[in-house]
Order: sequence, then structure tokens, then C-alpha cells
Amino acid sequence: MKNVLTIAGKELRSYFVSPIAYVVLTGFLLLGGWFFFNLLARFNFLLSMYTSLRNPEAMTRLNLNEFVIAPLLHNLSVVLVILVPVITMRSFAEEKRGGTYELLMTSPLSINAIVLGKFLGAFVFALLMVGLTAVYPLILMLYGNPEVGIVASGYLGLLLLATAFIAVGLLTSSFTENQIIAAVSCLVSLLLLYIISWPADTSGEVLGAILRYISLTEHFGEMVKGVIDTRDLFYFVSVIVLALFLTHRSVESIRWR
Amino acid sequence: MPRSNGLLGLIGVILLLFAGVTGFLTRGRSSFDLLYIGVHGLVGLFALIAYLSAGVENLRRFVGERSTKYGANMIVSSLLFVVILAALNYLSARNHHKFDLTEAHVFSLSPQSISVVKNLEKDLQIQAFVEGGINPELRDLLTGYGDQSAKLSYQMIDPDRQPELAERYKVSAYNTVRLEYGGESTTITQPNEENITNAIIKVTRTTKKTVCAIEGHGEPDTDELQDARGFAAVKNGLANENYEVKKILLASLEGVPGDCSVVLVAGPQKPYTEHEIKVLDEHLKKGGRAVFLIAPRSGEQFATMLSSWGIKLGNDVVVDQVVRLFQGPALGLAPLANTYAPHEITRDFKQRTIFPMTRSLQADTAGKKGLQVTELVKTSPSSWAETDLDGLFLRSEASLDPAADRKGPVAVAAIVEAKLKEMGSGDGEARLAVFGSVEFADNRNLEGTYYNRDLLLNTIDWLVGQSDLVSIRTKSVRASRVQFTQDQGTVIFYLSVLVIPELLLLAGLVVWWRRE
Repeated sequence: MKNVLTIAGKELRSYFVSPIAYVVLTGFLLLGGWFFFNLLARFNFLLSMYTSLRNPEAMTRLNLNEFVIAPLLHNLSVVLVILVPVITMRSFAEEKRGGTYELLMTSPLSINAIVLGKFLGAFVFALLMVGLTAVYPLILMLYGNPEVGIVASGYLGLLLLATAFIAVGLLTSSFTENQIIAAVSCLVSLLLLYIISWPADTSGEVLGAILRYISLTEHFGEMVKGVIDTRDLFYFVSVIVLALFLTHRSVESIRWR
Repeated sequence: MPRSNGLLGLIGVILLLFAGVTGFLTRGRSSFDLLYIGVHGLVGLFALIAYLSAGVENLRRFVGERSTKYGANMIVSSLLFVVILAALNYLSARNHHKFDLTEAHVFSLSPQSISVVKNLEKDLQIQAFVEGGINPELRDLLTGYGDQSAKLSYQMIDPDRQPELAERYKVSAYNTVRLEYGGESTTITQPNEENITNAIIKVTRTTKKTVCAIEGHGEPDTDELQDARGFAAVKNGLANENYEVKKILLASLEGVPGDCSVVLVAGPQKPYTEHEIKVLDEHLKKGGRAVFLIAPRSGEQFATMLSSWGIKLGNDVVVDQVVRLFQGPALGLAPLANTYAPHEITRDFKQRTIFPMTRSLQADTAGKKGLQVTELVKTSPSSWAETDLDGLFLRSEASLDPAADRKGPVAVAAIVEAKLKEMGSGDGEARLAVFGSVEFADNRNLEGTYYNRDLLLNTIDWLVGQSDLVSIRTKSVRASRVQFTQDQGTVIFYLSVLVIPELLLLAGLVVWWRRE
């Protein structure tokens, strides 16, 4: 466990001594802030419009959760699809390229500790990313009255999504010593997981159900709506565990290849 | 092993992979698909065989290598892991629990619905006919039902792609949901939780209710399908809701048969005998249920009887000439109505109903105890109850005479709840419904553009007192607001869009500067 924490600490430090962390965080929050402010402005516009039209029915449907927080979280999830590969691309690939991989592999550290440590480091970074965006719902709670349960469930969903993305990113990074290939293959995998359910409605009962189940968006979408289902939690944990297991296998293979 | 040989093997594997994926996605529907899959499969297989046969010796050595063993071991163990995870996910999907964090529990079924679904004894199939087979909201709702019981299954159907199903079940509009339980079935056209749950209650109820249509006075025939004036549409609509329709000849009977849940008196052309009127009155006084469709200039003997139940039949015809705009030169004898009294029959009713050739009705409970009369449907303010029937029918003239005619809105349908104890004639409750029109329910108008079918069937449901039907409020995420001044808005903008990213960027610059 101590080894895991040591590696996680080193990994996290390596993010912050290089400009990558700052560029990624700045970009993420710049986009997040832009989404948030514009969604809020649109909400205010709708509010004033319905008020002036005296449309009481529409007024009862206007709420911050569906009009601001849900679209914000969905947009952030798309940004994560693009940014997470940038964070994780270096984790194994850079070590291979830089020649520190052999050092790492011949050290007394177990492969479990290496993989878990790198995962933990990246996870803390993702926690920071998602955590910083919490300022938006905090602003809403300060000036308005959104449903807190839905906000909490949505943010849990975003964090699980980011964590699953990171696990996939570690896996693709462990395959190659080229960071671009690592990032692009991660991006493609995540996008595929994101959109794989698109033909689900028109592809028959069983296949449709499978495609929907595999897709990250379906599980994430439920949580954004305010529903936490043990099925969705289990799915996210499965993706994370599977990706880490395969990463472990991939890292281990260097010992006999 | 020569390098080019290895490449051949790799190409073979890639081609076979593409053939497999294409086969899975296209299922080889067109000849081009087959060509693509065939060429890829054959060439891939050939390349692989060439690779393998060119180096059987190499292969043997390759298989014997340590790394091959490890590699195979890795692939097998990874596949095993995937299979185990897939199985666990399957189990978790089958036995899951949902926590609805919305304040109103928007995504959870109400307790009534859950208990209805949990009490299912046979398999219940639900078919939802929706545009393109896609309606995420309805699917979520039906999934919610399916989660409660393994006996309930549902299917989303695109009626345009499976027109034969739509034809078989007489589905003519999108968002129609059909439920089938045992031999019973019903359809609903506004699928929400309340309607679906009530439809389940309806189909699962085993006892059949009987509607007894009285015949022998020139009433429209409930078997007449071709004639626009026939009543087969009523019979079909009722059959769809689990009712049986039976014709009875009241003149030859001592009383209304015991199995009649509702008596239907529809547009008699010839007068009823006194015996028949008496039998009907007694039926009601014993807590019976009846629906009367009494058109103008007919059934005058019912006036006395109905007035003792609190309803005054107007000797008039309702005219609404606004309709002329759309129908050309006409008297306006088919008024449209869209004013409904708040009642469980007309709850959520926003649509129009048409009442061709209708008389007006009036609640008249003065001096009568125990009667609660509701004027259920009213025509528009531009209509009036024309009393000059000669002028109307002989000279085709109609004009509002303020002295004699009643100005609209006038009631054209009314219902009565009678507490028999308070009336001094026994125990329990009698219910009756009166419509001023017969054509209102004939083949042409019942299934036509307007919502006459829903009105009539809801009324009959209410008459037989299906009190176990539940009412479920539609739930939504509660409305929420945000309020800030112009200045606070500026602060929000600076904080969310500018300050935080700026601080992060500066922090990055400082770190970079120090490392440089």
C-alpha cells in the first residue's frame, strides 16, 4: 500500500511539474465556465420570457437541474472524452520512451503497485478536475434552489465516468511507447463507448439492450437524471476493474516478451 | 521466420476480423455485403493458410517458445476475466436496486402501480407503438414496470415498419400502448403512469362486465358495422375494454336481468311501454346503472322519469353556427364541445367532442334529496338551445330568440349520482348518465376525429364504478429558480469563466518559470 501511495504521489507530482496539468485544467475550466454561464443566461432568459408571457404551466417545468446542471454535466463529459487521453497518454508510454520503464520494472515494486499507483495518481487528478467544477452548482445553490440530490448524483456520475476514462487511458498507454498513439487510441475507445448505443433503438431487443448496456452514456445519463442504480455503479466498477486488469497483463507481458 | 511471411499471417487475421465485424453488423442482407464478407473471408483464410503452411516448421518452433505460452496464457486468462465480468454484470443487471434522489421520486413508480404489478398472476405483455420505435421516456416508464415483476414484458414497436401488427391490433396513432393479459387486452392512447396502471387493473380483472342494450324500439343496432348510424363501434370499443354487450328485449322481461352492469337506452324511435319505463326506474332504484342517449323529438316519455332523477330534458336542438365557417352553409346542428366539468370521467380531457343533433339538458334537483347532478359537457358560448323546432326542421331556419331560447353554453351530457338512502328508496347508490344526442355515439362519430369514444367509454367505466382505478399525479422535478442582481451576475461571470482558469494558468506559468 505504501508503494502504491509513493507511486501515486510521484505520478501526481509529475503532472504538476509539467505544464500539461495546468493546460488541461485551465482548458477544462474555461470550457466548463463558458458552458455554465451561458446555460445560466439561457435559463434566466426563459424565466423572464415565461414570466412576461404569464405562462404558469411552463413556469412549473423550468428548473435548474434539467436546464442548467444536466446539460452542463453532459457537455463536461464530452470534454473529458477529449482531455482524459491527454492526461493518461504519458503514464506508461513516456516511461517506455524515456527509458525509465526498465528501471521501474526491475525495481522491487510489484506490478500491482505500479498499476494501482499510476491509477490512483490519475484518479486524484480527475477528482481535482471534477471537484473544481463544483463551483458552478455551489453558485446555483447560493442564488437559487436546485434539487441537491440530483446534483450529487450527477457529480458522482461524472466522477465515475472520469475514473473509467482514466482506467481505459492507462490501458492504451501501456500498449505503446508513442504518446500520440496512446492518446488517439484512448480517444477512439472512449468515443466508441460513448456512442455505441446509438443504433440500439433500431437494432432489435437483445442486441439493443446489450449496446445500451455497454455504452457509458446510458449509465451516466441515468445518474445525471438523479437516479443511482446499483446496475450503473456495478457497470462503472467493471469497466475500471477490467481496464486495470488488462493494463496489469499488458505491463506484465514485458517480463516475458 | 521470414518477415514477409509474418506479414501475410497478420493480413489474414485483419481481413478475417473485418469479415466477421461486417457480417455481425450487416447480417449479409445485400449481395454487396455478401461479396465484401466473402472476399475478405476467403482472402483472409487463404493468407492465413499460406502463412501457416509456409512455415509449419516455424509454427512448431513458435508454439514451443516460452513467450508464446505466456502470450496464450495471457489471452486465455483475459478472456476468462471478461467472461466472468460479463456474467457478474448480467447478474447485477438482473438484481439491481434503484435509488431515486429526485425530491418527488420522479423516476419511481408510485406505490399503487407497484402493488398492481406485483400482484400479476399471469404474463402481461405490453406493446408500445411509437414513432420510429423510439420513445425514451415511455421506455423508461415501461422499464420501471418491468423491474417490478418478471411477469411483465414490453416491446417497442414502430408501426411503420411493422404495419401488420398495427393493422391486427387496430392501432392508428403513434404512442398507442396495447396490453395483453391472458385472453384480455386493452389499448390506451395517452401512455402515462396513471393510464398504464389503470389499464393493467382493467385487463387483470377477471369478471366481465355486461352492457345490456335495450332493443325493440328502432334503436341503432350494436351489430351494424356498415351503416354510419349503427352502433357496432360502441360494441367494439366496449369489447376492447373488457365489456360484453348483450341485446335485451325489455318488454318481455319481468325486470332488468341481474347480470346487466349497465343498461344502455340508445335513441328509441318508438315509444317504450309503461312497463318498460317502470322496469328501468325500478332498476335504478335498486342501485342500478344506466346510460340514456335521447335525441331531440324522441323518447319524450323519459322526460318525467329522468326529471325524478334530477335531469330536465330540453325540448330543443342545440345550434352552434360557428361551425358553419368550416362546413359551408349549414344550420350548425353539430356543435363541438370542449368545456367539461371537473370530474373523473373528463379529467385530463382537453380535446373536443362532437354532439350532432343534440338536445340540451339541465340539472334540476330542486326539492329532491340525495341527488348529485353534474352537467358534464357544455357547448360553446356562441351556441344556443333552439326551441322553434318547426322553423328548424320545416324551414331550415335557426336564430337565437332571447325570449324562448336558452343562450349557450348549454349542457348536452350530464351524470347523476343518487344516494338511495337519502332518496328514501333503499340502500346504496344509483348512477345514470344522459346524453342529448344519439348520433354522438354512432359508428361515424365514435371513431371519428373527435374524442367521443373516450367520453362514452369513460362514462361507462364510471357508471359501473370501477373504483379500484387509481389516480396518480404526474410527477416532475420541482420548479426551481435562480435570482441574482446585475452585479452578482457579473461576479458569477468573472468567477466561473475568467478567474478560476486564470489562476490555474498563472500557477502553471509560475511552475514552468521556476523549473526553467
